[in-house]
Amino acid sequence: MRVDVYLPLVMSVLFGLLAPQLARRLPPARATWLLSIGSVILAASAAIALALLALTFLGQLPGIASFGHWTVGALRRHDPVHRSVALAALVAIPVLAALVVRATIRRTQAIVDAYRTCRRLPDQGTGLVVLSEPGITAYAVPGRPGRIVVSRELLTVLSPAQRRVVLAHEQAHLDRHHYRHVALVTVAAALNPALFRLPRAVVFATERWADEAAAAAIGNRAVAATALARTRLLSGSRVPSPGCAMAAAATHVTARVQALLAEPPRTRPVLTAIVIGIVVVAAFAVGDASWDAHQLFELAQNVSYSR
Amino acid sequence: MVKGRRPSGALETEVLAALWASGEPMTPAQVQESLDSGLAYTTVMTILSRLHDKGAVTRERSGRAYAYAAVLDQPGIAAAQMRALLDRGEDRAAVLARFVDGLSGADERALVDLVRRADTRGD
Repeated sequence: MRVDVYLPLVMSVLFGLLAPQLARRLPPARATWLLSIGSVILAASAAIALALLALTFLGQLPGIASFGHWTVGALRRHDPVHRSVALAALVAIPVLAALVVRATIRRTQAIVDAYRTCRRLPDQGTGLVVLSEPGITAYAVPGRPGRIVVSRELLTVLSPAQRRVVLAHEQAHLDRHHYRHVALVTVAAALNPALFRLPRAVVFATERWADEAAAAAIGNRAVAATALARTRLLSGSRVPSPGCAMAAAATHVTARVQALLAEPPRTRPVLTAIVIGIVVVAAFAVGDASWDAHQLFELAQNVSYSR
Repeated sequence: MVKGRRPSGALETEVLAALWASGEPMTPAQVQESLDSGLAYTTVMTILSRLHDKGAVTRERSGRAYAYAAVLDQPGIAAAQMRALLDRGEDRAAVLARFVDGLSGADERALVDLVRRADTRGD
């Protein structure tokens, strides 16, 4: 418990620091899965670790100690956690709980709203919604079925092949349910602030994933790159639609274009192993710390029984 | 151009997008040409009649063939729905996967260079 209990926090910081690089270097589908599932496991591990730290303090409160039948003195003697650390954990828990509840509610409402909007959109049985308003825009709205929304202006300025890229890109977002990965990681980052860079990294990975899917669908990565760059340049500095302060979701178009012009992504087995290693270490450490904490309290109980 | 098999849903979307892009009624032959994807004439025909069955396109006689056009639904309904969704806040916008974002205007030059490079390689 002396070291183990802090490992999930250390691993989360490491994961958070590496995330932007991982999103760029790993193959995009794998990056999306590793980063989102990894974030959830790390956030859960760190939350349990915080709870364990707080427990060592709570257990020394006389009321709780008598309720659990252990002696305060014995617990204090064997407690490896400094009082200030335990107190800090105790304060952090309700704050993080509030943040994670808020993030969960907000994101769920947003997804429900998107589904509802999809039901209200005119249905022509094709999933394509064309906006006649001026402006260059294209996006995927998750729903059942999800919709691809594009502005007519964009369709008219792109070449046929580029049009296919945009459609295939958005279809990939819908088919792979990318919004779920982003939602999971947003909630995980609320629970564990060390993961604050993860939502952005996962959004980037999903965009890359959809880019590669579109490039594969039309069989030409350079055309996919041009479609992306042209759309970005045509949309200019004009804000594509209201409420798009997507600060957390900034996708770097230039990096995506560069990636499409470079060689297809490599499998990167070593990097993959490192990422899995970080997550596994955190999960095992918190398991071990829980066992240690259990033994600590048991020890304090035995002392009280032997008296 | 090497191309994998695409699901029929994607083909329907593509054909519909081509009709939208043209803005004028097109015969199957014109659609086939505007798609520029090596789709067989009969395939284009099949997709157009399927779209017509769904009510996504209208058609009128044009000589010996039909000319197809995308159906304009009541103008602005879709746009109003999307605006209503996006106006409800950042979280709504974050759920949508946007093709490009409106940020980082500084790297526009880099993009222009990249496009130039890409144009010499592909397309």
